Amino acid sequence: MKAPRFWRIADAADLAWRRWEDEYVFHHALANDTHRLSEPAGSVLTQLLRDGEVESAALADACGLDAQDLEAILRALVKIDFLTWR
Amino acid sequence: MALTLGLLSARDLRRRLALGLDLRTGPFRFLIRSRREDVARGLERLYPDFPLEVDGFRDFHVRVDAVAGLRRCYKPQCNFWHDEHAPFKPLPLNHAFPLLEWGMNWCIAGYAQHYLMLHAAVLERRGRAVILPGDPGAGKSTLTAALALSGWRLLSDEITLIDREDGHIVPLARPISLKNQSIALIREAFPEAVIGDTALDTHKGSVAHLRPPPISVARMGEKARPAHIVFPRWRAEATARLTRHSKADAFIHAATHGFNYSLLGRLGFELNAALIDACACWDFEYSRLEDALAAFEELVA
Repeated sequence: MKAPRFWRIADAADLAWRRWEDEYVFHHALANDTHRLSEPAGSVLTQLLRDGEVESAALADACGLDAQDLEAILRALVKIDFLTWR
Repeated sequence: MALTLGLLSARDLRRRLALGLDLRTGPFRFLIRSRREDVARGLERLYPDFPLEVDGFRDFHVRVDAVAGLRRCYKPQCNFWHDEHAPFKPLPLNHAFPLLEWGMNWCIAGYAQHYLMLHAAVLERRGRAVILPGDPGAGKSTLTAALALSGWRLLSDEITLIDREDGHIVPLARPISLKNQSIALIREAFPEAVIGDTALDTHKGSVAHLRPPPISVARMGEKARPAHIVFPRWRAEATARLTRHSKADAFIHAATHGFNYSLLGRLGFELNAALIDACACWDFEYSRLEDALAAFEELVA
């Protein structure tokens, strides 16, 4: 059995964001990168910004995502240095 | 009464231009020097309403002149200097006036980092500014010229300046750069339009500049509130039609085509986001200028 993973916003990220209709735009201050994100990816980030560290299953529940979709989103967000986990 | 370029005699203009003509455009002052007759003629026709200053701080010291040496005799060329440094390769001598215009744009885009600068035209009517980003060939300048000649206040043809204090748009009111078929199109649709000499075979094709309406120049101290962002697209036979454009996409487009979005970091993000918050975003397809003018009129009705 896999140990549960806890996700949080990367310490250095310093994110700013806006939501328009069903899309998000996030700014990563350290990298000075701007990303346009889908509604599910944006909701994962805003959830973590609000709650701090969240376990995978709780995050999937809060964002209304199945485990597979969440996994893909988390992987993509780690890749652009938005998230970290333990 | 303020001294404007049009109040100078032809001789005085050329004398001042040789020594340094201190011209204000929006918030910037340019000290322009040139001994070229085509530059003098271009300024005379396209900048008569612009105020001239006498002393004080100038933002940019620029010069356009013929290149010295062998080039005086063989395929003569001209160049643009900013603070006596030439940032561009020389161009054929008959491209001197457009080179001055491009050089002035380069100065603003490169140095006016105290604004958020977008690559877009912007006009205002009834207190509401409409920003036109537009990729090359989208018909942005043609539409900008038609609107400016139909009672809209021209704020800028190339560079939209966003004030970082209040997010409002700061006018430049410089001449509009018309290219290729749009030169004849605007001449035909607006016979009263004052258009300068056409420079042939530039890297943008044929280029001629349109004099900004005097009222736009007179009001270039008045900022405007952003209300719409319209992505124009000319397509043969298209019916003029405005459709909603995604705000997130408009944000990314403005950021990607901004001159200094990345340079401003978080401030650039916040200014751009405030702009998108303030604006309705549209795609606009059109083929006939008169239909386009009617659609824009409705936008600010």
